[in-house]
Amino acid sequence: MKIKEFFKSIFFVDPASSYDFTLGDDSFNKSDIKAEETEKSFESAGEEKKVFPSIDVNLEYVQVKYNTMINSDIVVREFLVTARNKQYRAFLLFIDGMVDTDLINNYVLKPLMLKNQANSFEGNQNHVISEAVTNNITVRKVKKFDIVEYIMTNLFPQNDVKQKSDFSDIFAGVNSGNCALFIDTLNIAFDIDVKGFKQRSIDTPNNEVVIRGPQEAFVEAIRTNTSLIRRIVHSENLIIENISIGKISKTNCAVCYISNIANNDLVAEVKYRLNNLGVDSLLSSGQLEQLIEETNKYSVPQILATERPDKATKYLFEGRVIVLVNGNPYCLIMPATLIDFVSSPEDTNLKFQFANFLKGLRLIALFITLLLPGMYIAITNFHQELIPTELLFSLIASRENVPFPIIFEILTMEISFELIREAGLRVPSPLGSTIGIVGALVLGQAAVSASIVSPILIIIVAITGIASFAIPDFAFGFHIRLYRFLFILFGYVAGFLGIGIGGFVYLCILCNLKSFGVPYLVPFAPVTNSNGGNGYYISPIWKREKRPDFLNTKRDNSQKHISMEWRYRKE
Amino acid sequence: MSSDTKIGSVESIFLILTVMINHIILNLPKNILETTGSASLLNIIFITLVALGIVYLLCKLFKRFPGLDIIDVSHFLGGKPLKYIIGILFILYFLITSSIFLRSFCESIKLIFFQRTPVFFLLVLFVIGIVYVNKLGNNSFIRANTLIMPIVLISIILIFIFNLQNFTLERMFPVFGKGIPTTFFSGISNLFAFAGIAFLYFLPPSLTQPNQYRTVAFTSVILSGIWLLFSVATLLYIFPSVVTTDESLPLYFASRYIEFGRFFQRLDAIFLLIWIISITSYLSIMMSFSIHIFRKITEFKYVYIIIYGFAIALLVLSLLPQNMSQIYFLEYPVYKYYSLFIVFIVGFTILILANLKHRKLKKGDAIIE
Repeated sequence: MKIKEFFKSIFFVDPASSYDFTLGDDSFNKSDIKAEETEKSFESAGEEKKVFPSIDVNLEYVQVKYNTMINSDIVVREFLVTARNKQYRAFLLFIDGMVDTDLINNYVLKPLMLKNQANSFEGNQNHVISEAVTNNITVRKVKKFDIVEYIMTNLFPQNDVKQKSDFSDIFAGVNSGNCALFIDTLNIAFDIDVKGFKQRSIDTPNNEVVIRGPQEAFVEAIRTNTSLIRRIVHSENLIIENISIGKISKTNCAVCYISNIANNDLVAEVKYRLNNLGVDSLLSSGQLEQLIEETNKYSVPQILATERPDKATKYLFEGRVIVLVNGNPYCLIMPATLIDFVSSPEDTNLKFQFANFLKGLRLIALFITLLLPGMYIAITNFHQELIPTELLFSLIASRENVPFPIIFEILTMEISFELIREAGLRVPSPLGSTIGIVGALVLGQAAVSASIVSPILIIIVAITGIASFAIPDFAFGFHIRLYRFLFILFGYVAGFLGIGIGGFVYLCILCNLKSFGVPYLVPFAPVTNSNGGNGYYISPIWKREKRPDFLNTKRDNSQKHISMEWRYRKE
Repeated sequence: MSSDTKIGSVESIFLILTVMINHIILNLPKNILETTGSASLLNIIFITLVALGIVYLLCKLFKRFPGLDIIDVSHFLGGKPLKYIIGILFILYFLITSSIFLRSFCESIKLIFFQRTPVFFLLVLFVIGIVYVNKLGNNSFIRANTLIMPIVLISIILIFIFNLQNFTLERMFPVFGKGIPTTFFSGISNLFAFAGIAFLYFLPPSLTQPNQYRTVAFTSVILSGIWLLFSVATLLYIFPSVVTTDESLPLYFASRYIEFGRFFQRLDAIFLLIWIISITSYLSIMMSFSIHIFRKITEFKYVYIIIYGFAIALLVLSLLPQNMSQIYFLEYPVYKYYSLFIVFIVGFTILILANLKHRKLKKGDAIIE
């Protein structure tokens, strides 16, 4: 069967049948979504339970669901609620460690349990709303006593209390750090926000360091992260929608976009993909990235990840969508193009001349990382005439005592370099620099002295390594480092011919990629309007008038034609 | 071009330009110089004007068939039999042209860099690349071509500029070369240089903006003419005509003359690297057009199997010539006259007859849907 499928995939693939989302087109079929939703509702129909009026049944149900006998951090606190001098049986359900116990004690248990002015007040049972007298007959409009409303309005000095009737909603709240209050005779429960788990405070970014720019990074708590974004955006049009992913983990994810800028199709597509993930658990944004990308075949990242709120909001203002994953200090930005992976958050803070100079350097770094070792092997094996004669002599002289072929030499050194990098990352940080010095300097020097490798090769590998660090995005840098080995192979097999054909195939792969319907190489391939500062190089700040053309945003312009009005304002 | 592939104007211009530019890299300027000698520049200006006239006619003839390509038009004219005949003629044209081109280029680079490597190995490398990118889909290599072509165009201009010091301007004399009749009458056969016009027959259904068809056609022909002029001028002013006729890849040999001081004396490999990328792109496009026509006439939906089939055909056809003289014969006279026949005779005849039929049927200017 597998062999049959393998041959089928080689010979009989109908490209029309592959999933292809294009931004701006109504390409995905809404009836499909409906069908999926119906299927989902069928799946979960058996599990949806409403709160019972009997407290004993509720208690038993909760205890069974949460396995309270063996679950040590699930707390069920039974007590009596005092309301209008009457007492009702009740219990609180929460997870120890996820709630603020002071909040529970002072603002939930105290007002409900202890006698106070609010819960001991005995007024009329029925509250007269209005009264009218006609022909000596008094007509009164009476509102009957409602304990739910009474508790909500009088007994909870809490800012966020919700009434829930489905157990699934109640459990979702409890799992995220709320507490649930069940009261006898009521067929609803109160979902009270008392979150208070320990979390890392906002810190400086570790992996996306900038010199002139904000020095705060996302943390693991999703609410903190959304607040970091809100603090920058300041707009009621910023929408933060919650979606939970993972049938078991029910990881909270927040889809953020600015509703009057972002393309509706794009937002719908992001939500469509997030809502249609059949995974049990979601632990990180890295996992999510792989789950919602168009293709994972070529290792090219198609979604941008950042730990910087300023970078995330910059893209939000452009009309992109960002996704935050609870428990992960990275947010995902979509769609992303090649230019985004070669851009640094520093570019926004610098004068355009400096930023463009750095962008030029990064482009060179990109080519060096990808091609230099392959080019070296191609030139030394096939195209020696390209090397100036004097340099060729010294190169041959330096290789005279080396017994290995160049391919072996270069692969050994490149793999050693990757080993040093990996070891440097994994060892405790005080040892990291030692590994670098020992690995790079001592081993390199020793390898040259022992005539295992030539000095020129050390230079090539070192330059390649340094250049790879200049690529701002970690995932893209990793991809380039990986493909560098392919180009080494191409260069070894057929020199510039191999690199040329391989390079063209690689370019075609990049051209073929899409990120949420946006071609990866826009605005160059396909050619789109890159005016208004949306090309590779950035224009002066006052010229960046347009949002990227390929995003088909609701607002094309991001600033006025003359943004520096002060300069041209007439008295 | 699968029917779902839509191409922008810039992509289309580079698509047409790629045919001319890659033949310039191979041997086109040399072939033109052989025919018209020192009058080649005049001849190029002349044939560019003729090509513009032809393109003008082409746009006129296609006016009544918006969104249709030559296969649809031939179907309208003569039903399925004619559709098959025209389809097969164009498939053969694209396939044979590219296989001759591939073999010729591989023989040239074998001579330059890979003397001890069998040509089969070089051919297979190209074919693997072509198959892979065709499997990725048309959009991928059409976009990649758009990225590559500007670099290739710049490379040709650079060869011209950096060789200015090596130019002997007297070589343009006598201005009329082998005489006015050769320059302007028999020299008109050099029109085969504009064989990229063949793509214009298939573009109408694929353009994102069909109203840009005219602009695409004219711009591509004008740019082709300009670059042909540059390349022929480079060769004409550097080499005596005797040497020109001996060399394969003449532009490559022109690049060998470039040097900057004592340090950079041989930059030709860099140019060849750029051209290898360009040629892979050209061959991929040619195969894609063949596959598109094949799918259109057979309505076969599994594209991979066609790609493999055409790749094998390309490889086998390119292995057929026994020696360099056969390759040269196929590359110059055969390619030249086959191009002229298919692009300028067959295509035009079909369009003219279809227009006549249309007029007869509709008795007016209505368009065919």
